[in-house]
This record gives sequence, structure tokens and C-alpha cells, in this order.
Amino acid sequence: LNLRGVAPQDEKYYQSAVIKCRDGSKSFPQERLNDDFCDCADGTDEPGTNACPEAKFYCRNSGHRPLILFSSRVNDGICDCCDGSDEYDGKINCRNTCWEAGEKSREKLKKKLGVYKEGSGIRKKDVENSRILRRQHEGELVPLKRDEKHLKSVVDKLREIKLVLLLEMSLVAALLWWQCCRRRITRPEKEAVEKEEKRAREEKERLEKEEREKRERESTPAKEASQQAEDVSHQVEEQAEDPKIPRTTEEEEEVVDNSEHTDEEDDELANLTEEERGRVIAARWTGEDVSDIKAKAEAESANPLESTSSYDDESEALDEANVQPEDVEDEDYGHHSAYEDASIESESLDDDEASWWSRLKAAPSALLKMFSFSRSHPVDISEAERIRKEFREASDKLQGVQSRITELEDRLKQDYGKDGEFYSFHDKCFELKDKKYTYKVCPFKDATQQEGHSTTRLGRWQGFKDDYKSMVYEHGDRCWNGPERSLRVKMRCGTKLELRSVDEPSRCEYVAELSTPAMCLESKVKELERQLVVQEIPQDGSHDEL
Amino acid sequence: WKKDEFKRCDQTIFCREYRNLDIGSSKWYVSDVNLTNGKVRARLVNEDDGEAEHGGSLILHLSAYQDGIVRVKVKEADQKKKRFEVPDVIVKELEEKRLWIQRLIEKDGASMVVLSGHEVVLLHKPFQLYVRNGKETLLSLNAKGLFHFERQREKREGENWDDTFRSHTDTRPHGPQSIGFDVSFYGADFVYGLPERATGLTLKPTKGAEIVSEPYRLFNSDIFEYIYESPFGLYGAVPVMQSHGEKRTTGFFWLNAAEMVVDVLAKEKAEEGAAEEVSRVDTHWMAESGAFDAFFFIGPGPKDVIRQYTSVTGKSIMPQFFATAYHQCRWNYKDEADVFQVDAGFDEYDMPYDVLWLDIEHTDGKKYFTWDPVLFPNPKEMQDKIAAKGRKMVTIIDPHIKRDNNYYIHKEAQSKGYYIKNKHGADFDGWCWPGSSSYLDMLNPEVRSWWADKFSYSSYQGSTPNLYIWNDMNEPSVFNGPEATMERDNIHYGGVEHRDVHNAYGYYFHMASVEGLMKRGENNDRPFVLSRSFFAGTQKVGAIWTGDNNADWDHLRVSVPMLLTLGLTGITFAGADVGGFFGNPDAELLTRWYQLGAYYPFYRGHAHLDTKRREPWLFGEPYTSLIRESLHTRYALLPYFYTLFREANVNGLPLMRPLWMEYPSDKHSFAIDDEFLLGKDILVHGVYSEKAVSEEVYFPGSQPWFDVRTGASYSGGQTVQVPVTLDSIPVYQRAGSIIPRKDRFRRSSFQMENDPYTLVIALNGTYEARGELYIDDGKSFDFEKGAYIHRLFTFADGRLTSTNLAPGNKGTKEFTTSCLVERIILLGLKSKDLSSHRVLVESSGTQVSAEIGPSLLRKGYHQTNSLVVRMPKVRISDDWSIKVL
Repeated sequence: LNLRGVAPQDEKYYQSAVIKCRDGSKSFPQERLNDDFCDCADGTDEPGTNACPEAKFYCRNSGHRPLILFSSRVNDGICDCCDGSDEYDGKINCRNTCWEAGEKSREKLKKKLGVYKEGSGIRKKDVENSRILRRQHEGELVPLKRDEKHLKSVVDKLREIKLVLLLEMSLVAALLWWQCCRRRITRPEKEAVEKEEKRAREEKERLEKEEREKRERESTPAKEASQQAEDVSHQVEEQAEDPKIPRTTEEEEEVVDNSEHTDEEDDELANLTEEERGRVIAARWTGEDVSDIKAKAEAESANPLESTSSYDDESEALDEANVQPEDVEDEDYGHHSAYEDASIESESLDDDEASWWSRLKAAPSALLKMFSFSRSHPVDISEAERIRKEFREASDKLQGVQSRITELEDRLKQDYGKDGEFYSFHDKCFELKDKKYTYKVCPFKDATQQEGHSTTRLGRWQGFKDDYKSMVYEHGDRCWNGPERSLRVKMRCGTKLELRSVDEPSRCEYVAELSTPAMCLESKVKELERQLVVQEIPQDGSHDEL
Repeated sequence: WKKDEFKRCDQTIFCREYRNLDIGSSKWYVSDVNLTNGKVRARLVNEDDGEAEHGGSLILHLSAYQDGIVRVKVKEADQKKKRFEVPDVIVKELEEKRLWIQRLIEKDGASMVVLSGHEVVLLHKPFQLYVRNGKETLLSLNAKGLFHFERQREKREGENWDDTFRSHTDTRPHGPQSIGFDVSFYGADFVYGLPERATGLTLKPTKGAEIVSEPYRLFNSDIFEYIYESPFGLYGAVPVMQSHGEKRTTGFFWLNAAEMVVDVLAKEKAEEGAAEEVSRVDTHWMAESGAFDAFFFIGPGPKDVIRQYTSVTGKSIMPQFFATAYHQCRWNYKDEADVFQVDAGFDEYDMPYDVLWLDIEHTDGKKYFTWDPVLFPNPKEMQDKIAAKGRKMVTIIDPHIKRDNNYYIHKEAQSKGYYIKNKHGADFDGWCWPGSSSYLDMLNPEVRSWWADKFSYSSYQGSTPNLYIWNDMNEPSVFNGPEATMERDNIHYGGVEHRDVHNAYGYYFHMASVEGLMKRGENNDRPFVLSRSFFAGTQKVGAIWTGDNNADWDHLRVSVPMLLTLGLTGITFAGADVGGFFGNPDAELLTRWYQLGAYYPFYRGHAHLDTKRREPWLFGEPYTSLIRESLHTRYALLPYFYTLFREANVNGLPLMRPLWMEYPSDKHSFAIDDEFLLGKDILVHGVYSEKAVSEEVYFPGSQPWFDVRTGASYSGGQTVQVPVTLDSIPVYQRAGSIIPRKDRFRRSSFQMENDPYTLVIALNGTYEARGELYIDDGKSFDFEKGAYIHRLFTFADGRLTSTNLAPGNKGTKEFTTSCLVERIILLGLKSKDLSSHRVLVESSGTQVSAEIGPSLLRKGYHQTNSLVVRMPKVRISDDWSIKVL
């Protein structure tokens, strides 16, 4: 019975006179076991030769770990098993290196076990600390929520009062305006005012309609100065709110990208020096950044006047885009900013219109006087200011509380692993300085690569993957002519929390290694201990019948 | 593709002018025909020339060679500047095959030379030349009257010879000197050849009433992201065309390395109706400059034409065995750790591979023959470690030399004056990978010899005997030059302008690198150098690949006609980058590419710097297993491949063959280019679309074909919609063939050396089959001295016989092997013969058993249609016979 290449636990399988192929395809008589001819396609009959492509060879490796080889390694002139049992055709003499290799491997295992032991201790503490910290954070949230509720009601009340005040002041303003400018009021103006009010009510469905109206208004020549003023204010508002604006800038970027593939580039190449042209063409393969040369080529090929104006357009578009978020914020605060809006508006008004505004602003007392005439219970100006102040303070406080709530909720809703072992990662960033770059990996946030003052985002946090063995960042800055950058941080057990290496195996796909006690699992310690015990048992070399 | 960076015909002076010429506009007639030195010598006179017209007449030389080759040379009687005749393309032995023409027959205004089996007729007025076979005309020159020859002349006053394209001006110091003419192929349905371009196998008409097309262009160019179906030329040029019809195959070769364009003329409407006896294809050839040195090949069959052409330009070099296996490449394996990781990956997944490649980033600043000191600090140790598993490495060496005064290659080349010069006589300076670069003048044999020395172990620091070479960018690619190459008025050795040598530059560079490996290996280690650029004759120096293709289905599809075309022009050791160079193939496309690539003569996976990693195990199951299966398929067939490589080495035949090469009278097969024959016994049909469920397979011939995986048979002469799965592409073995395989899995081909053989016999209707096997040491040139084994296997009368096919006096050296035959598989047996029984090995008198079994050893393969003879234990190198039935 030739049991070469058979694992001890499988020896029984080969005892009968007729043996079945494991895949059930057929049977073979015992003398065909290891006869160097493949009868079972799955390799059952040739565990000890390389006759069957799918067979596996078991080497005992007494003194070290057993190994299971592909049959392609049997008698191929390369010593794969430390006991040399895979090379028996006499063409090569493999020294038995199992004891040395075993020693080495045991040393390594011991070291590893040490790290795991220490690491798992740290991990235990970390997990405990995290639990406490988490409880603290959860505890903090309860009173904060209470405060939020209270502050909200205060702020709401104050806003109401303030609104009443504002309304009253607006009435006064309207009165004044009517006094000075009534001759100019015309029907279309009234209609415009009504329209505007209606629009405000229907804010949610406005986008397309607004666009239409805007075009409508623009196409109608504004005959009345007041209407013009109104229109200007609309436009300012609309442009700021127009969701198309930020897209415009994106479109421009796209255009820049595309231009690299259009014929225009070809003409531009003609304007470059020999070297520059060489670099631009080489960049097609390499992806080297040659935008500086291209910009030059564009500048030279374009009409200088046109190019200046196009830059202006671009910067304007950018400015407009920048305006937008502020305005959106303002909206959140309700109508208290109407005053400021008006002041923007005033700048674009004709002298005539400005005059009533300046009068209104310059004479608050007169205004109030008039106001009190028409009101049954007078409001005094200091009261108005006090309310405004209180409102500001309360809403600031509310804002503060709310942002802390958001922060805590954001923190608490994250996934911190099975034992919450990654809780402390929340506020941490890991850094590694390479020759050229500094890598910064911030869990739950993002990962970057810095070179001097320039920062490239390698990706935004996507979560843990591979059963909490990796952290994944995706959708980083796009590579020239390539994909968005991404990073996978593989975590390994270590006593120190540190970023060990960052590599880029494929262009723009980064892989980093982080050592952390969080990966030093207690269960793994047990497993390693078991492995060590197995390896330390001296194995009986004489069992080897080869 | 940056179309506008390349010249169209209407932007090219000679092309524009010739293309607008009228049929019959040629004004040359023949006078003074005589015989000198066994050649016909005649004078060509232009009708428009006065008696004392400047420029004078032309001299035509007509000579003939054994085996149906006719050569015509035409030159100015009084050459102002010697026209460039491309050296080192025509093999020296050709002269020995020249026939001494004894007699010239003058008759009816024509001169006729009678050769064995064919005649050449030179018609005097107008000048026309016909190659005939009795009454049958085979080939003609100037039958359509498009022969024009711009004689060199002085610049006229006020004349401007400058030719400006985009920002580049070609000064054309020697003025216009183009040559154009028509060649007709008689009895032809199609013409083929003229690589390299990404088009179908047949050369469709480019000129005619309803055709709007550029002509086929031969101008070696580094085309960024080349497109499918375009007549524009790519990286290499072979100005040879083959015509084929049911009864006749002929060929034509114009030895000229200048820019060339060729029109295939559409049949005219009137002609179609007329009682034309034989079909004919007319072609119009035009070149910017250079010499008129043309060869006509009379066939009669496709293999004859290839044999004739390769007897002029040389047979394929015999590759090292490892080079016929799988190659793993990427731009770039980053550092030594990456190299070891990839190497280990193949072992981990039990995937065989033979060669690991390093692209340009392995160098120190793109200075070839150097190593990046940080990324590759220990190149020798690295190669040794890879070589310990029988594997090799390849590094890239390009022809542009960094103009860096601390770079020894540059310093020497500069001081020795080895660079190509610009029109002002200074070293040409162009932009390529390293930045400012100069280009070695490889036309100069002295430069080639100097370059060859750079490959010695002492000169190429960090190189070992297990390192081989890759030449890229040798069109030459010059990023900032006109059409991404160098100026045509640059000057080479001997005052030759670049315009004259352009298409052959890459060939000379390739040749110089091969010379380097020959020297390094003391002329007994077969060189392996892969080149991107090529020319007529490249087959005798090394392998080429189809350049920077794309990871898309169209490029997978077009790889087949591209490689078939190369094979028809003698260049058989070629492949396309598996997976596609640019872009990211999805798992299915990559799998299909590995499945098809397993049958390319050159099998290499490669990828661009910007692509995702795609080592064959990275795509998960089932893809990893399927790619592994493709690799194993290739390795199992290596004995068959190697036998075919030897056939190419002996008689020039390609490995990848269009169906009509083996079935020349099967009209249906003439335009098929989505399937091909590997040798004559394996039929391969790729799968070129996503989620394909079936493929239309045409089975040529009258005998059946056997599915290599299932043994199922399909009768010949029919088209079958064959169902396909992701598991495999359709591949069949011809009935009547015997294919030698080595079915055992190994890490690389090196470990297979002593593994036993499996012989797969596909029986035809009369229970007969035949096959060959060639074996040698796989690396040295000892085979040229007889150190090889060549066996013939025949099956007849129920008996398999092995006999020696090598001649008795093959040489002084010997090669032996102890390899056994472990298994004989018989396909095509009728059920009455399909039963387990005893088989007699007659030579040894022993009995072994034959059982029903699978033709492929894989899990889940159960076959009831094939008989397997177990362990006959006969030596592959011995004579023996086995009585099977």
C-alpha cells in the first residue's frame, strides 16, 4: 500500500481493495493507488504523484507544520516540503530542514503570541474605556435634548414677537414709501407685488416656474424704475438660489476635461515648444499633469481679449456660487434678514428710490412717532432691540446645543465594531511620513496625501469591511484620466496604534496597513496557543515511510 | 486616436498626385532588351522625353529564382543620388537560388523568358510585365498603366520643395522622387497582407466609384489608442500582399522602407458584366521615395507563396521554449517586493507562468540598462530568485537615449557620433520617455555592433542569463515630432534620409538587440527580444506584439485578423496584449481574452499604468478557475506549439492560419476571420461578445471536427450555431490528426521537461490519423547541428506507429530525452470499438489496458466517446508500434 502524499486522517480511506474516486465518478483497484497514472479526474488515486492535475500532496514535515501541496509541485525539482518528501524521483536531493524551519516558525509564533497577548490586554482596557466614554456621551445627550426643547420654545416665542415688530416696521415703511412715491405706483407694480407674495407661498414647487418667470420678466422691458428695482432684487435672490449655478461651475470643469480630447488641443499643440509638445504627448500614456502647458497653449491659441473675458465670467460664476450657501443659511433664520436683503437691494436702486430708504433709515424716531399714531399700544425702540438681542442670544445658544447634539448623535450612530473596540478611533487621525508624502488617515472622516502645501484626498470614509479587518475610503480626488482615488486600510494586531505603510499597487488605489490592539482578539490568542502546543509536540519522524 | 496628428492621403504630396492619376497614364516603353549575367536588362524610356531630355531613361533588371520567384528592379540610368536599397532584409542564401536565364525570346513586340513552369513576358509598348503560366496570367505590372517614376532632378528656379504639416516642415532636399505602379492579381477573389492595421483579414477595396476611404498606409507610427477598422498604419509595415482564389494564390513584395500607400481598386461596374474569364484584383502601390525592387511569387497555393516570400526575407527564428509559454507583464511591477508578490501569486493559485516583465519604470530615470536604485536595488538576486523556479525575466530597452551627460550610453554614443543627425548635421534631439533624447542610428552596422556589446553581463549591470529583452517605441516614437516620429529629412549612416529608412528603423533596432543577446550567449543561447515595430524580415530576429490595444471587445475581436495577417507576411511569433493595454477589462472580457490568447503564438498579459491590477487571480470565482484553465490549456499544448514553431522555422508557415490556407478551394472560408486554425489540426473560434450563448462556427473540409473538451464531433463543410458558456471558447481537433500534449500541471514550462506525453488521436472516417512532434533542448542552437528529435505518429489498421522523421544525416550533435508516453486518447471510434480491452505494445511485447475515459483530466469530466490507453510506457523518442484495435 503506497500511501505517499496521503494525510494521516485519510489513510483509512485507502484500506479497501477497491477504492472509490471521491467525486464518485468511478472506482479503482488498490494497486492503482499512486501508480503514476491518473484514473480519478479529482486526483483521489494519485495523492503522491503529479499524474492528476487536481490532486493534493500531503507532507508530514515532522518537527514543523504539515503542508498540503498542489500536485504540480511533486517531483518538479524544487523542494517545497521541509522534509523533502515532495521530491523523491532522485533528480534532486532535498535536505530535511523541518527542525530548523520549525524552530524559526515557533519563534515567530511565540513572538506573535506575545504581541497578541499584550495587544489583547490593551484591547480589553480600550474596550472598557470606550464603553465608559460611550456611556458618558449617551448620558450627556439626555440633558442636552431637554435644553434643546426648552431653548426652541424660547426662540420660537421671541421670533414671533420679533416678527410682529418687523411687520409693524414694514407697515410703517410701506406707509412712508407710499407717501413719497405714490405717484409712481402703477397697476403692473401691484401685480408684481401680488405675484411675489404668491410665489413665497408656493416656494416648494417653484424651481421651474421661477425660471420661466425670470425669463418672462427679463424679456419684458422694465419701464418703471420701481419695477426695475423689484426685478433686480428678484434676480439677486434667484441667482443666489438657483440650483443651476453650482452646476455651472462643474460643467466648466467638465469642459476643461473634455478639451483634452478634442481637436482644439491639436491646434494648440502647434503653439508649444518642441519639449512642451513632447511632454503633452507623453502625458497621454503617463497621466502626468501638463495642465500648465495646456493652459499656455490655450492662452496662446485663444484671442487674448476673449480669454480675459472668459476668466471674468468664470470668476463671476464662482462668486455667485459662493453667495448661495450664505443666503440659504439666512433663510433658515427666518425673515429677520429682510432688513439686510433690503440694504443689498438699495444699492441697486436709482437715486429716487434710495432717497426714501435713506429717509426711512435716518429717521427712526419720526418713524416711531408715526407708528405710535397708528397703533393702539406703542412699541418703544429699546424694547425692540432688547428682543432682538434676546432672540440672538437664545438662538446662538440653541445652535450650540443643537450642534453638540448632532455631534454626539453622529458619533453614537457610527459602527464601532463588535465590541465597540473602535470607539476611540473617532477623534483620531493616523499619520505616516513617506519620502515624499505625508499620509493622514482619519477614521469616520477622510484620508489624504499631503505633499508640501498641496493635499490630495484619497477617499471619504465608507466604513469597516472584511469583518472589521479593513477600513475603506472611496470617492477621493479623481486621477487624471483615471478613477477616483480610494484607500483600503488593512488592520493588523499590534501593541501600538500606528500607520505602518501606505502603498499604491494600482494607480490611485491605495492600500495601507495599520497596527492596532483592536485587532488582537482574545480568541486568536487561544488559537495561537493551541498552534504552539501542536508545534512543540515532538513528532515521530520514524513514521515517515518514504 | 488623434486623427489630425497623422497625414491623410490628401495631405501627402505623392499620395494625392498618384491617387488622381488616370488609368493608362503611364508613358513608359521598353527598348534595348538584352541578357547579361543571366538577368534580363532593358531600358525604359518616357514618351514625353526628347532625345536629350534631362533625367534620362530607367534601367530594368529582371531576374528569377528557384521555386517560382521573379524579381524586377528599376532604377534611374543616371542616379543623381543613389536610391536607398534596404539592406539586411533579403537573406544571403537567396543569391544561391538565382536561376541563370539562358534565353530571351523576342516575339510580337515583347520579350519572353521561359522558366520552369512559368514565363515572364515583357511587353515593349506600353511597358507591361506579365507573369504567366501557359495561357493563364498570374500577375502583372503596369497592366493598368499607373507606372510612374519621379526621376531625381535639380531644383528649378523659384521652386519650393518644402512640405509643411502642422508645425513641421520637411525640407525635402532631394526633391520629389516617388514611385507608383499597379499590380494585378489574376484568379484572385481577395487580397490579404500589408500589416499593420486594426482591420479585418481581407483587404477591402479602398478606391472605386462608391468608395470613400483612405488607402492602406504603411508608415510606422506610435498611434495613441488606435481604433478598430481603420486603414491607417500602425507600428509596423510589411509591404507584401497575397492574393487568393479557388485555384491560385500569388504574392507580391516591394522591398521599400519609405512611406507607402496601397489602394485596392474596386471592380468597375462594366467589368462585372463583361465576360471576364478569371476574377482579378487590381492594386495601386505608391511610395514617397526609395528604390523599385519588387518580387512576384507565383504560388500556386497559399503555403507556396509564404514559402517563396520567406525564402527571400527569411524564416522565423526558433524561439526558446520558455518564450512559447505564458508571459506576465504590467506597466509597471513597481519594485522587487511587487515582483515577488506577483510571482508568489501564481504559485498560490497554481497558475503556471514563465516570464515576468518589467516596463520603463524599472530604470533609473528612463536610462535603459540601469535600475532604479530604490525600487530595484538588487536586480541580480531578484532574477536569481525568480529563476530558481525555472522562470525568466524581461526588461525593456528602448531606442531613445536620454541626453544626460552622466549616462554612459549617451556619452559614448555622442562622442562616437552614433546618433541620427538632424538636417543641420547636429545630433537629432527629440522628446520621449526620458525627456530630451537622441536616437541611435541603427542603420549603421557599427552602431548595431556597439549596441550589441551593451548587453554583455559586464556592461549591463544587474543582468543575468535569465534576463531577456523587450524593445518598445522603435517606430521610432518621438513625442514632439511630426506624426509622433522623427523628421524625414533627418540623416542616417551613409547620408541616407530618414524618409527612406523609416519603416525599417524598428527592425534594425530589434536586430541590434538580438545581436546583443547572441553575443551575450556566445551564439548558443537563442535570443528572445520582443519588438513593437517591425518590417519585412522581422521574423528572422524575433517576436512582435500588436501594440497598445484597448480593453474592449472590438480589440479582442480584431486581434485575430491582425495576427493572421502578420502570419501571412511571415511574422508568425506574434500576439496581442491579453486583457487589452488601455482601460479596465471586466472579468468576463479578461476571461475570454485568456481563453483566446492561449492560442496566440505569443501569449502575454499586459496592462497600462493607470489600470486596475489584473493579475489572473484577482477577479474571484469562477473567473480565477477559468483563467487558470486557459493557462493550463496553453501549457498542455506546448509540445504542439513548439512543433509548429519548428515548422515556421523550416518553411516559414505561420502557426495561426486562415482557414483557406489549409482549405484553399473552400470559397466559403476566404473571408472568415473570427476563427482560425492553429497549425492544421486545431480550429479556434473566439467569443467576442458579452454574455454570448452561442457562436456561429464554420467547420471546413469534409472530415469531422472533435470538440477538445467533450469529444463531440461536428461534420466538416457546415456552419453550426454552437452553444457556448463562460467555461470555454469553441476549439476543435481535426479528424485525422494526432496532437501531442503534456497534461501535467507545473509552475512553468521548465518543470515540464521530463513529464510524459499524452497523444490525442482524432480518427477520420477510415480510422486513420497522423501527427508530428518536434523536440530539442529548447534553448541552444544545437538543433541546427542535428540535436533534435522529430517524430511521426501514424494510426492505421488499428495500430499506432511512431517513426523517425528527421533525416539520417541531420548533423553532428544529438538530443535525447527519456520522456515516456503515458496516455493515448482515441476520439472518433464507433461504439462497437468503444470498449475496455487489452492492448499490445508490439515493440516490447507487453500488454496494457484501454478503457473508456475522458479526453481532459478535470473534475466533472465524464466521457463515453473516447478510449484511453493506459501507460503504454514507450519512449517518445523511440520507434514503436501499439496494436490498439
